[in-house]
Amino acid sequence: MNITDEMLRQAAPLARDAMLASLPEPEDCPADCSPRLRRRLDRMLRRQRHPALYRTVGQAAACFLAVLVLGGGWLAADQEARASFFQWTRQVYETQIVYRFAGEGAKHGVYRVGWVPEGYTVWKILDSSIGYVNENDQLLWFSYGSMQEGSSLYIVEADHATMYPVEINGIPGEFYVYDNDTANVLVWLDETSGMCFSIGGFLDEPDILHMAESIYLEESTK
Amino acid sequence: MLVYLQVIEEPEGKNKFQRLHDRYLGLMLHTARKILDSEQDAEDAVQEAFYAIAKNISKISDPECIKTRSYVVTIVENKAIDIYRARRRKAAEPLNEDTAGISFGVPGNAVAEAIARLPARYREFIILKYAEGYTNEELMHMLGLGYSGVRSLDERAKKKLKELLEEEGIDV
Repeated sequence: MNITDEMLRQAAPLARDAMLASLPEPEDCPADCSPRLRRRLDRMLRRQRHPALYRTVGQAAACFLAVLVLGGGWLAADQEARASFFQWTRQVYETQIVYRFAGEGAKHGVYRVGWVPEGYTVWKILDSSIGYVNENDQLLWFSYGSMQEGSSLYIVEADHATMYPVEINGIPGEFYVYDNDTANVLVWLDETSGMCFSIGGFLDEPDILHMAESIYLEESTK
Repeated sequence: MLVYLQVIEEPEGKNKFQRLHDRYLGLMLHTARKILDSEQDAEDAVQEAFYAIAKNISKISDPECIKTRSYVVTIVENKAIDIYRARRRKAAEPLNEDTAGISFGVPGNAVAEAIARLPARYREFIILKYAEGYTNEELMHMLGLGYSGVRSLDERAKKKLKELLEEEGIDV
């Protein structure tokens, strides 16, 4: 006796129907779940509603809202005083937060990340940033830069973000959590090394802090 | 150095995945809870199932049809069994290769009854391929298997089905 495909094509639908009949109707099943699962499903739903926010490997954009510009010009309309030596200023505009450096520059080392959340793999390694991607095409960026005259870090759409003060290996940082479909951003400024760091990704605070705390200097100067 | 950022807006509106979520979340939770003792494990299975559905969303035509409902139930059962097996491995407990999953009967048709009694992995495959008509290539993506894995599963499922029928003394 052989089990043929035709035999299965006749019998399998009967088994399928019996399987479904052994279960309640979908509308009779309460969709009660924990807040933890609810958050994760909501994130998946947002991703499905806004697929362009989650670019696949090979495409250009990442949905992060922090821009680190080194050696760039100042924004207009700012009258904050600057220190002569080594100082970052943090300015809050209506929809942006801007960190600006006014002081002597530091030498730029090469930094790497010792820990990334499970499921992420290296996507791109640029001059001073590393991009990671997971199987859901979500990007995760680590960026850094030395505090040079004219350096700025922009947190845009800040009106959609709540800032939480955090610490990374004893260094104060700011963790921006967005209320829309935007990646969260962690920023911290290490005055000892003269470096500004940022991590942007769809991670919660423990994971993003864990990643930040794993960062290490690979080469001391460039 | 510039880290480039931009948000691209998409129009709102219910899409296929939303409809699947709205219609089947409760059923998926129910199914996973039948297989797994831990509520957290059951929710993990549902979450993993939704990930799999999202990755294969293009293979789903009508979220309301029987084929989709069958696929959704099969996938969450598949993920629940994965978690069940992982827990048993972690606990160093003997692994039963014939994990049953959802239990049901099909009186009146010997072959269908035997399909219902197959271990869950084999039954899921038989239903997805021979009832729902998914191709081997589609099943590769849906079940996370390679081409040889799909063919091997097909052969093992048929072999097991034959054993079950012979045990019952049924010659088809």
